[in-house]
Amino acid sequence: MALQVDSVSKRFGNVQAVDNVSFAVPTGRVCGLLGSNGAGKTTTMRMIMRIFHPDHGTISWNGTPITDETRKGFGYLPEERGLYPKFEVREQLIYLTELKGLSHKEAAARADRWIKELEIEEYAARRVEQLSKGNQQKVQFAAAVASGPALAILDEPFTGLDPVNTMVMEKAFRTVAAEGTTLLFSAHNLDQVEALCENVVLIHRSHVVLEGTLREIKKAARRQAIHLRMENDDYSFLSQFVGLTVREGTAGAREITLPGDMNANLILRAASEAGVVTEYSLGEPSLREIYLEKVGANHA
Amino acid sequence: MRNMWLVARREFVGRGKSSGYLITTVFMAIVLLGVTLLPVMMEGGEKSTPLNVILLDKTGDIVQPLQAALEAMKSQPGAREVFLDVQQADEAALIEQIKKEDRGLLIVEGTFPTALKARFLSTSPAMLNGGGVVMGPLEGIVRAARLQARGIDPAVTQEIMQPLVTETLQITETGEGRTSEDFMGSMMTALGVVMVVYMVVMLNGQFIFMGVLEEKVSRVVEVMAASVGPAEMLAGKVIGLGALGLIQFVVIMASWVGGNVISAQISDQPMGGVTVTGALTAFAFLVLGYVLAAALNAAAASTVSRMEDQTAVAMPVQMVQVVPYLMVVAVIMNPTGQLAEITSMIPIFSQTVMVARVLMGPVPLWQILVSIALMAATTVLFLWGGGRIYRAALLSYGARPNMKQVLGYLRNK
Repeated sequence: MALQVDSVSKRFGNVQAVDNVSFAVPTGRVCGLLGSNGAGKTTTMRMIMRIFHPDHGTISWNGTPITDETRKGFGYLPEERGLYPKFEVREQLIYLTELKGLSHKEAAARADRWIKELEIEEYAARRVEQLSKGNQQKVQFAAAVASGPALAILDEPFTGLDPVNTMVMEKAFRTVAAEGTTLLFSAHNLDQVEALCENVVLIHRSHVVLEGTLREIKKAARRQAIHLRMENDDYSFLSQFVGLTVREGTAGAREITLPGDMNANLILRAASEAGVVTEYSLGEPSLREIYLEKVGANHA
Repeated sequence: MRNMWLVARREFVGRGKSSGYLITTVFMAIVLLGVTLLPVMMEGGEKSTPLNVILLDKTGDIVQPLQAALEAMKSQPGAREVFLDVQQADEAALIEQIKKEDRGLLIVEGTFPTALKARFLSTSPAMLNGGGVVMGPLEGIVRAARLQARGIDPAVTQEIMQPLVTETLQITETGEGRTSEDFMGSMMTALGVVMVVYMVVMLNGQFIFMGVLEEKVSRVVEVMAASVGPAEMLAGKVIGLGALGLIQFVVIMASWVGGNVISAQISDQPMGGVTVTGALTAFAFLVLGYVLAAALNAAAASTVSRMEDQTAVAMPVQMVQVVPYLMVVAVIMNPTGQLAEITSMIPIFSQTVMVARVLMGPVPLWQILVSIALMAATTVLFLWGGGRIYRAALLSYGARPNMKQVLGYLRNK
């Protein structure tokens, strides 16, 4: 395992921010760190970056505890903007990349590459403070990955982006992952996490409640999910089944979670008898469903 | 080490290009040039402008001798020309006249020479300052007339009225005699150098404060910390901004020296020179004072997490830096006094007091060296303590640490 967080705890005064958190991210994997606000994600990321030191536990990289020297090989995108507001975009990217040990020439080439990848060429000569929040976020992302770090810690990298810029960032994100950087990032858009991640860690109230690959997690859920829409909008027939979880989905459809041992065909048969079925699909539960089940709808 | 130079370069270029630095440097250079040139130019300007005076002689005995005395004055070097306009109009009318015109009015009345009364009137304070140009000769005329009335030979009178040649000299340890003009020149030099050192140290110390604050509040420091150690970060800042401070010092001093050279030529007065010892001492205290201020400012700024807290932290830091400058005038007026000798040995005070003393006159070398050594040791102490606070507080956010916590930062490794 490249990144190993082992029994880490952190307390601020009376608040236990992180409690005995353990998880691992294999080399070259993309891992999503999930959890509701205040769950302990940012504190965990800051401990990995040695901004805070854990009260207990260890954090290691490739089997060795992370030191200041190891950290120089990591890229970091903080939750709050971490750029010089009055510094020009290109010059700032070159400077931050040079600090990672690259020559000026190489740093300039990397900066130019990411300016192009993130489609911010027209802002390259502007000061950061003159950019929109979304474009500042793209610059921040470029600053974190331009040096080609072994590990990139990205705290909510998609915050403040419009749909078009989100697509641009997702593409850049996949490029970084494809080039071998191990990525640990936090986000609240679970569909996006599902689309980008191989591994997931879910922290709830300072504890890890779920950890592993998406495949393993979905398999471990041991249940099936049905998407169903009836033409007559009458779903009363579902009450004959015990153990179902039914939620109202989009445009009046129902999202139904079945117990692991139940035959899904029983639902389809009953629906056909109750009226005209206009939509039906059977699949694994989405990450959103698993998240809500673990954390509870109140914390979504 | 490489990253330290990168930080230094970024601070140098970033701050050097800022309008704040450029405007302040140019503004201070212009102010000092103006301060040195303006008085001389104004004085020179006044001297070159003729004094226009209406004479109302109610005695009828003054016009002729005063005109003759003023005529005789014209041949003296540096004398101001006087246009005397003799009128016999009503006093009130003449007062009304000078209210409309920029002229002086000399009214002479009483009995010449025993009970003469002279009044010089003008609406302009500058014109009143020039009143002595006509009142001096008038006094001479009256005294000579009184002596003559007592039967003293006019030749003897003239001899008695010859001005006395006076000279005040300060004898230095090297036996050199310094005139009061030399003293004034040294005083102006000492004041100028100490003021420039003060401005450069204060200003660049504040740049350090603002730089650290900006990095912390904008969270850039979290990104920087992933690449650069706190010691490298602080050293880079101190070097980069220090280099800018030195350039600023040279520019401002050049402006000040230039102003002094020009004013010395205009006024024909000697200019206060700076000895090699004086220059080296000023340079040593400039560097040490700046590094000390930098450490103090960096440590203080690192404890601030929110912009609104900055004033509460910056104020005491600035007070510490201002106190030594309050001593300067007292020291310059009496550079060999006990106060000057004692405070020039106390670090922080010494950065102004010793510089002023050295520029005002010879100071034993051992005193200079001990003073620099004590200041250097204090600077190292501040750098050590400031570095520890900076390192510990830089990545701490939330409520501003209290004194107990700050002392805790000092103790923690």
